[in-house]
Amino acid sequence: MAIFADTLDHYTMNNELTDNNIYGKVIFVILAILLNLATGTPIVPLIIFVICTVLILYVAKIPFTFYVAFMAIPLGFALLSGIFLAFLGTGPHIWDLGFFGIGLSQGGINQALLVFSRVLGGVSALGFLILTTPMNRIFAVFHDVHVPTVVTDLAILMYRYIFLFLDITATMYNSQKTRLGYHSYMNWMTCLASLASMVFIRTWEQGEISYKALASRGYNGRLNMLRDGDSIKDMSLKEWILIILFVILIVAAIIMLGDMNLFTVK
Amino acid sequence: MHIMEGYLPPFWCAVWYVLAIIVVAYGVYQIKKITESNDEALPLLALSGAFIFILSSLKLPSVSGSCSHPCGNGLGTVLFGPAVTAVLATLALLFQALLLAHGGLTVMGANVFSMGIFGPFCGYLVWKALRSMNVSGSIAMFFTALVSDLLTYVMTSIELALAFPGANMLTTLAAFLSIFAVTQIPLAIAEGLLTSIIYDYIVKARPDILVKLNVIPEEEVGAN
Repeated sequence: MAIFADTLDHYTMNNELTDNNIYGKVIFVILAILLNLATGTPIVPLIIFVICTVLILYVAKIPFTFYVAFMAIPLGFALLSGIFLAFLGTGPHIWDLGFFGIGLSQGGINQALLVFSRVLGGVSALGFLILTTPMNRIFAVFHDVHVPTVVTDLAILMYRYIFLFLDITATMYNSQKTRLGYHSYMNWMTCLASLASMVFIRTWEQGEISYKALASRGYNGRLNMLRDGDSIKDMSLKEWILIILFVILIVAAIIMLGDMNLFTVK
Repeated sequence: MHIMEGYLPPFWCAVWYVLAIIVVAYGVYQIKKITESNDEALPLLALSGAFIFILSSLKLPSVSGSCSHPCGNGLGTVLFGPAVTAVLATLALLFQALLLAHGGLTVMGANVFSMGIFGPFCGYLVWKALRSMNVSGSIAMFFTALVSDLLTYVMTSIELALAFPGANMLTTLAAFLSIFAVTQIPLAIAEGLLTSIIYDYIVKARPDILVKLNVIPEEEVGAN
């Protein structure tokens, strides 16, 4: 089905790492995110970014264009706020804007570089998990780490309903568009409001229907599902070794590089 | 717009996590109580969470020409109360992080605190106050959504200013406020208008839902 070929769900279900042990991926990503925060230098997050990008593009074989589109929005925001942070730094200015005493300082540029590279590293590490793992396997992890059942059930149902209602929303949106909706500002507002409220009412009716469907099958406030997730014990030795190597590499880099940055601030 | 993965230093990640977890745990406790006494509640709550997620994926036109999306937390807090909204917003943020890379895992605490707790709670106070003064539902809804949306971004600015104090924390706060909160004012007004029209539609089409959720008293339905 070609029209569904470029959705996120398609790639999470069909990449080279889909069937790998979920714990291997989760542990790797959590360690990467935490180490990414623990650094004082922009170089370590860049190393994490390179590792995750290689994993995503060459090991999981996610197409390059899809990965770029995925990263573009968070990075755009990161770039903007990085520029903003650069103007907020302390210390003597190296370039003055000329009003309100705003200017670029060495400390500010250092901080902006650090934050930007951290966002780069963090988003790519998160992206590795998002792009290679189907959501239902992440729910299995929720269950294993003893998140309250009611939260897991809520999350599973929510996930299902999100896709149901995205479909309904898209249909309604298209039919509004074909009837000259969204052409001026006030028109946009009324269209959007009727769309949102109709989706709410549809949601509610759907909820009543699904409650009846569940109740007629013996539902008593608890969803009993067969959960067959991976176990942490099934992780292969290779995966453990790779994760440990990764941690050693990053920790060594953190210790060796310290607070190294573009400018040395005394 | 949420704070992104990797943006906050570790110390502040932890602080916001602790604050958020306390409130969300209380919300989970509430949900547990509701679902135990009423087994109809869980599917409805899940649908409401999905609705908040979808609402935040719709494009809202801003007067300044740019586009943004509604927070949806004003409507949530009026319909389900602030504690339940905190849990639903947490799940919505989790899905935004895991499906769209919007927000992130280490900054979840900070995002939940601004979008799921602080904004909705203040909005709820506004709603209660206006309703007790016999202001009509749609006008009260307008202000509730406006306050929830705007204060979400005020809180985000405070979080960022605390994390990056710069030379003088107050000037930094002013700078962050001018970027996030002031640009958000037109969007907050737009969200207020939108939410109040949504509310009107629901009152017209299915007032029984609102009665069931204890949003409006039964007499008000008869009057329409």
